[in-house]
Amino acid sequence: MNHSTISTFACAFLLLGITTTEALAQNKYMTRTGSAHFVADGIIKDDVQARSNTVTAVLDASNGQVQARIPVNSFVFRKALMQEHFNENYLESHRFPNANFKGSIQGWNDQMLQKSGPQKIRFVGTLEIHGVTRDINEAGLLEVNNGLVHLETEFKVIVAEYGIKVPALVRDKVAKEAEVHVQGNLKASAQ
Amino acid sequence: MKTRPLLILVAAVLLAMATTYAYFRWNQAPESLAQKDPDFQIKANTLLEEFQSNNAKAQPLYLNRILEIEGRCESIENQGDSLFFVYIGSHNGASVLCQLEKGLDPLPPVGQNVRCKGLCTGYDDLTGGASMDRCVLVNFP
Repeated sequence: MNHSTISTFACAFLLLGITTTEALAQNKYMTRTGSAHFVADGIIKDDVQARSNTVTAVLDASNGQVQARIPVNSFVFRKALMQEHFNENYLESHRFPNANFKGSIQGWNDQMLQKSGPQKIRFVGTLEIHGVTRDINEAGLLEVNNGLVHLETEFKVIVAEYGIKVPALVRDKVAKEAEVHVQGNLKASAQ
Repeated sequence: MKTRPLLILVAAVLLAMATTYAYFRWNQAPESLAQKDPDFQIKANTLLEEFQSNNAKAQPLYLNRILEIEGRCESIENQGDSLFFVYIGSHNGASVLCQLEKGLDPLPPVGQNVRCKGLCTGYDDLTGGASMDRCVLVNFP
């Protein structure tokens, strides 16, 4: 084998290596700065709503699996006392620091990342809040824009189903169901 | 007999004061951490290493505590004019994500060593990173 043949093979392997690495890197999309917002106003309106901007979400484009994590104590309320009660009494963030979703996009195929415009999807999997894990199947949206994968969903959480106890004193202020909206723009990741 | 109207007046004043205090307390916005003393001062890389090596031990220690971390600004990110994030330190490819409580102009340049104080929101097992909220940069610019 002469010198030029060896060089050709070396270049081919190098190119193959780069292509493979890029392909692997494109398999996962991730964000750590997604957002989650919920409203849980009861009969007496008292602005029971909060927002977190540090939601982590990972999409595995090879199989459509999705994982998301919301740090419970990252929810910021307009009222400090409400935030304190939410963390210490209701969600007990010292015991259950994260809300987690593990699941997948129903009917996933990797062509979904090639389409333009918003696509209706369904997230199927388990949602863990306050240490209680329940199956969920919720509608969502997927849209690819400038290389970013935008994922979004809106659903209701029945507070009692996750073992969250609301004291009788504030039962009229806090809704039995919280309306939750989660979204994120996921970038291709090397991880 | 003259003391009764006086007592009623005192009770009314006390009730008004208590109601006013309760009203303001209930409507008080979450306070800034800028003037608060940190519970722990730690290098960002050490924090990451502790979470990654033994989350069960690190989580109860640091979660919900005010941390002042020091490390290299790995990257910055903003979403519009209101959301600013700084990624500090690096260990096994992960950083501490710090959401600033308000925008900064200028933001720290990538590569600069920074100190950041904020509320620890725990370990992110999906990325191997840690996160902090309501952050302020200390002695910056």
